[in-house]
This record gives sequence, C-alpha cells and structure tokens, in this order.
Amino acid sequence: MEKKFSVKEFFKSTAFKCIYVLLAIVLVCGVLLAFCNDLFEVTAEEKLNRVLGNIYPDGNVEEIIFDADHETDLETEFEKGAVDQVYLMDDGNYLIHAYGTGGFGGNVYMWVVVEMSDGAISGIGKTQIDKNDTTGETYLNKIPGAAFDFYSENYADGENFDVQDIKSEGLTGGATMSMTGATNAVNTALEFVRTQLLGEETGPDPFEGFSYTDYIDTAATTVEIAEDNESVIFHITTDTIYSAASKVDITVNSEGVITDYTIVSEGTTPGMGLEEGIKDVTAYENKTAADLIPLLGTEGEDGFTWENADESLVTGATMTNFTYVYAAVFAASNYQNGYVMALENSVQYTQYIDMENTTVELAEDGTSVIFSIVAKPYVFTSTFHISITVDNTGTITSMTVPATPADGNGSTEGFESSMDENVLNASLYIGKTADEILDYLGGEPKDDFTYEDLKNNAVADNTITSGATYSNFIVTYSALFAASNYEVYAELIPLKLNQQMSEIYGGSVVVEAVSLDGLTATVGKGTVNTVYSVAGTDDYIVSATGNGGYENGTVTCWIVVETENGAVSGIGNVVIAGNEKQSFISYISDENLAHFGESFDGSDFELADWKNNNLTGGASMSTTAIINSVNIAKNFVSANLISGGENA
Amino acid sequence: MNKYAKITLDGLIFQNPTFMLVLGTCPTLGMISSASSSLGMGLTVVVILTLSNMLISALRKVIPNEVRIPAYILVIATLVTLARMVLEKFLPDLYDSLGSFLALIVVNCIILGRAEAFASKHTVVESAVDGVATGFGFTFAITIMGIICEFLGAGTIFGAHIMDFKIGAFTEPAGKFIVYGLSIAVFTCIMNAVERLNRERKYQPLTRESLVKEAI
Repeated sequence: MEKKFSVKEFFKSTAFKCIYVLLAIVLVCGVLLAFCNDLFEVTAEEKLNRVLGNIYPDGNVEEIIFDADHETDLETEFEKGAVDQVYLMDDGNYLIHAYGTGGFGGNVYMWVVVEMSDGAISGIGKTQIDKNDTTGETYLNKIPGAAFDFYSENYADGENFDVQDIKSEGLTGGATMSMTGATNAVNTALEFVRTQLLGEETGPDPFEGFSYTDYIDTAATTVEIAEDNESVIFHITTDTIYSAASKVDITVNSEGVITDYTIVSEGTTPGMGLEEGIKDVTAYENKTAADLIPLLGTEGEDGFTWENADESLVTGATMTNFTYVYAAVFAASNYQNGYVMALENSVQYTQYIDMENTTVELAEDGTSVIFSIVAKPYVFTSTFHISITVDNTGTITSMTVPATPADGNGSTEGFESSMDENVLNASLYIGKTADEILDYLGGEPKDDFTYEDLKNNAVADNTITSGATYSNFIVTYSALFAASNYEVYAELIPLKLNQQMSEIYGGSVVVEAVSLDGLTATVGKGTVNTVYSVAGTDDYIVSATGNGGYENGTVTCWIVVETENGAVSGIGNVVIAGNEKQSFISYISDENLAHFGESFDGSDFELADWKNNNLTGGASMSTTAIINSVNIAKNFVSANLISGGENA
Repeated sequence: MNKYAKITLDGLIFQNPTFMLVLGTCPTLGMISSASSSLGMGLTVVVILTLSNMLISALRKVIPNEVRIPAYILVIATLVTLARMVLEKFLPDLYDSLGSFLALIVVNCIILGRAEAFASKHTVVESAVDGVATGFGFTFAITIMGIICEFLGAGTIFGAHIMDFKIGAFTEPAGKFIVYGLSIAVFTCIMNAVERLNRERKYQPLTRESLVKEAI
C-alpha cells in the first residue's frame, strides 16, 4: 500500500527547507538592497556636480532651464536626438545633456557646453560622453580623446557637425557609429539652443514634396544645376543605417535619366573588409527611377527596407548597396523638384531681402517680372516695401520707392527726406541693368555688401548724396536683387506654378493662364479669381471664392473642372486655398471634398446632399461656402470656356 | 605549516585563480588593457570574494545541498549590487572605468568556484583568509598583465607616460590573449623550477653514512 505524503511531512521535508531558505535569503537581500539603495543614492545634483568637476571646474549653475525635476514647455525632441537637461552657467554658456541617435548600441548621451557671446552661439566648449547613460557602445574606448576636441576646434556659425569630417581626420578610431551618435547629440544640443532659446525658426522642409526621402539626410543634401543648364546635380548625404553616412553626387537629365554617379565619401565601416561587397555604382548610370526601384525589393507598410532588397545587392555590404540604390532612385525621381530647388538656391543678393514676405510674379505682358520686395531692417532702418519691374533684357523698367514710413519707407521717421532724391524717385535705377547698379557698390559682385560699399563708391563720386546712407544702400541693394534675378524668376515662376498646379491636379501638368478679360468673374454666390487650362487635356483648374460661410465669411478653393465634348463632365480635386472667418474650417474632411467628384451629375451641388451623407463635420456654413465656390467654378467654365457655352 | 599560511599561499601562488586554475578569464581579458583598471577590478574582487566566502561559510549548515548554487548566486549578486552602489557613490571614476565588467563579477568563476570548493566546507575565518588570498592572487595576476599590456600597447604605466613606442595590438583582444598565455607559461615555468629545486633540496641519496646515521 502506498504511503501518503502528509502535509506535516511536507513541512519537515528537504523540499520545504529549500524553499524557505531561498525565500529567506531573497527577503533579507531585498531588504538590505532597498535600504542601501536609499543610503547610497547618487542624486541628480551629485551627478551634475561630478560633470561640472570634469568639464566645467570653474563654473557654477546660474539657472536650471530644465531637468528631471524642472519641467519645460520647450521642444526637447528633434530629428536625430533629444535634450533632457539644460543649465545656464554663470558665464552665460549653456551646459546641455543630450542624446543622439545612430550609435552602435542605440543612443549616445553627451554633456555639451554651448558657448554664448552677445546673445549668439559662439562655439562649442568641452564635450564628454555620459557613460552612465550610454550603454551598448562597445567600441567607445577606441575613440581617441582628440575626437571630442574636434567640435570645439571646428565650430562654424549656423552649421552642424558632420561625422564624415571627423572620420576624414582619422579621429573615429573605428567607432564610427558611436561618433555618429555623439555628433548627433552635439548637433541636437545646438539645434535646441538655436530654436528654443534663441528663437531661430527652422523653416519649412525644403525637400517637402520630394519622393523617396526616407534614407536621405535632407538637412545635408544640396542641389545645383549642371553646366549644361539643364541637368541637375544632387549632392546627396545618405542617412546612416549600420555605417556612417555616405556622400554621393548624382547627375540627372531632364528625361529623369542618371548620367553620372560619383561616390564622394564612403560610409562603410572601415577595417571590416566590407568594401569588396559594394556594387559598382556606375551600373546605375543611364537608368531611370523605374529601372532601379525593383532593386529596392518589396515595399512594405513602412516603405522600402534593406532587409527586402533585391538579392543582387545582398553582399557583405548590403546596407551600403541599398542606400546607394535608394539615393539613385531619389535623384532620378525628383529631377523636376530638384531643378526648381536649384533655381531657388541660385537666387543672388538675398542678404537684406525678407525672402519670406517678398513676392515675385509675372507681369501681364508675360515676360516682365514684378518684384514686390520687403527689405529687412538694416542698422537704423526698418523694413522697406519696394516694387520693381524688370523686363526680359534684365533692365528695370519701373520702380516705386515709398516716400513716407506709412507707405513703406523704412527710414527712421524724419530722415526719409534725407534720402537721395534720385534714389527716392528711382531715376538712378530705372533703365539700368544689374551690372550698372553693381557699379554703385564698387562694380565687383560679392556676397556681403554693406553700406560702406555704397559710401566708398556712389557717395564718393557724388552719384548718391550722403545722409540716410543706410536707406540709400537698402534701396540700391533691392534694385540689384531684382535686376540680378530676373532670369531666375522668369524661369522659376512658371515652374513653381506648374508644380503647385500639379499638386492640386494630382499629377504632373503644365498649365497656361486663361485671360478673364471680357468675362464675368462674379457668378452666383462668389467670384472666380484665376483660371488655368491644363495642357494636353480639356480640363481647367479654377480658383474661386464662395460666399455664405460662417459669420458671412468666404472660402477660396482650387477646383479641377473636367470637360469633355463641350460640356463639364466632372469635378476632380477640390483643395481649400484660404478662408475668411471660418473658425471651423479644420472640420472639413477629405471625404467632404471628395464628395464633389463622387456626386457630380451636372447640376449644382446642394448642401442637403452633404448633410444627408453626414459629411459636413459640424461645419455646415463653411461647407456651404465651398459648395458655392465649386458651383461658381463649374458654371463659369461651362458658360465661358467651352464650346457651346454662352461666352466661349 | 600553519593552516592559514597554507591557505594564503595556495590562494596567492599554488592555486592562483588566474595562472593556475585559469578562472575569471572574462574580466581578465576585459580589464588588462590598463593597469589602473586591472588593479581596481582586482581590489573589488578581493572585497566581494572575502565577504561572499564569509557569508556562505556562515550559512553553510543552513543552506540545503540541493539549492546551494542558487543560494550562492543570490548572495554574490547582492554583494555585487552593493559594491556597485558604493563605488558609484564614493569612487565614480573607478565605477566608470569598470563599466559593464563590474556587474559581470556575479558570474565570475572565481567567486562561485571558491564558494563551492572552499567556503561551503570550512569555517568563517578560514574562508575569509581564502577569500583575501585568492582575491589578491587574482589582483596580482591581472595587475601584472595590465602593466605589461599598457606599457607595450600605450607606452604608459598607470597613466604615466614612459615611452613613445607602442604596439597597438596589445590593447586589442588578440594581444591580450597572447600576454595572458605567455604569462601563464612563465608562471608555470617558475613554479616548475621552484618545485624542482625543492625536490632536489629534499632528496638525499642512499649512502653508507646515511644508513649508519639512521641506524644509530
């Protein structure tokens, strides 16, 4: 008969003894560790004092901008890193604890001293890796100490550091990825100070609208027009995947074909024998994006990844091969965008021009360019508003300089009459080309003109009288800007227009303005502003403003009106361009706008249809204004622009 | 020979954990690129090894045989965690230099090996002596190798510049392995030579005089 194992026997057994002995040890150890954790805790203040002892021995913290105990509303996360502690030191410099992405084991944490002078960044002081927070960087000890001196010795105003420069000086010690993370941490600290503490604006992404940018470092990539004035050269810096960034130059012609591919610097981890696995990039020449996209493999939810790359790229340097192909696809896909960007980048003499508020448009003659210039404040002057027209010979044909501050004259009040008479009436500039205006500033083109150049030339030879010299200089500089950039803008304006209209149309288009002369632009419940015909089709893109919005406001839309066989056949994309008083405009959904195309039956659109389909989103009055604008556009085209219309 | 002297000599020389038993190879190879970090690691191991030996010896009659290894690991891990806290608080430079190897002391074969082989079978005092001796034997071994690697690889000793000539390979794993291997070889040669001398000194040939002397 089996003897049963009783509870009493269990408590006397070795098994129970094992359990309670282990539990007792765990309990005692746990209590001891909990007690000691509090006893030996290293506070944030102690850690900071240690850091100060190492990199800021003579400094004291004057103000805690933010840290773990002090919150902030400032933006702390950036593209390639984040900031979690910022201290203002008593000498005016900032001590920042930041991390950068792209390290071998993940993020690299750094202490960075950002030196300040006269309210601006003057350089980088000492930097130090925070080894407490940085884990997984197994090659960290290989980095020579001199590598971190690079930042303080090579700081340039307004520029970020590039790990390629550190690598080219042989300072990475084979730990390129760790240095990438460290460099990103330093750049993040700089970006924080620039944007959050100094209020500099980062501006819109210039590569917005470009395709295939996932593995492209758009902050470091530039574009220029080649010597043939047609091809575009992309100077691309790739993002890091498992190696440092690579730099390549890719030339693309107007057909979107790569005509040249040159590796400027190679990012593969050195010393690991991977260079042999890199495919010859000249194989991508004479190819288009469509030819190269299959090499990227299957596109997943997150786009293309190196893991799915075509097997022809799978060597010991698969990631490098992938990024080289990706860069080629980026360049070949973005010829048009790149050409426009390169043109914009070739605009000269912008130093004193407020490019954000300055507008440029084609005149009615179709060849002259009208510059509505807003000049930046300069020394004692405030903004000037100057209008200049330049003809197709690059000659200024008309120029308006405001006479009073109320009209836009930026002279200190009372000094506007001290401006040279010939500057105020623009007689010095009308009929002149860029070279002739350059003579007033010394005759030699350069990037950094100042009022001294005017003083040493046009004032010295009595062309311009002295008195209000700063104002005279700004007006002269504005004239130089306009005359010098006629050709660029004459080419750029239609290109940008086509680019804008392509986005609205939903495909690449070339448009031509339709004259509204003799046509009734105010039709029904709103106004037609502008009409473009789409080349190669019977479609029109119409800008119309509809009334009847919230608080009697208006909504302006771009509407694609499709026509066929002499009648309006449909409505394409509808894009909201602007509004007045429409507080609820953000409630308008994409489905709301798409309903125009889905419900088109030739008759006018009615709000009831939107309400029945629950598409107004609570913004019925704004929807009414949009419907009015679309009806106006449709009816205008029908009545005026297509055969069979009343006024066609 | 006094038993404590025997324990001490065993720990320092005859059963040196690095050169004779070839235990603790991971921290050895990780730290010997620098003499100061080797010394720091060694002294930390001395403290942890001594305390763990004493604790385990004190608990040897309480811990059941079936769970002795998990129990030893718990004790050692607690001591290592305490050591990390203390070093981070009071010796941050040493804490930084030891890096991730500090936590790896938990799985250092020397500590678990002496706990299993000695502390669980001897008294607290004997275990303490063994811990100190073995720890210093380890410290001596890796410090010597640290000095060699730092001198040849960086031209410095304990950070002090000695010469400009340096062979970078000695700061790399391959060079450290070579130094480790050669150190074991040299140590073994020395030990064999000492043993041979002792044998020769003890050995007396059988002669008529020795037999007479013995008979008398």
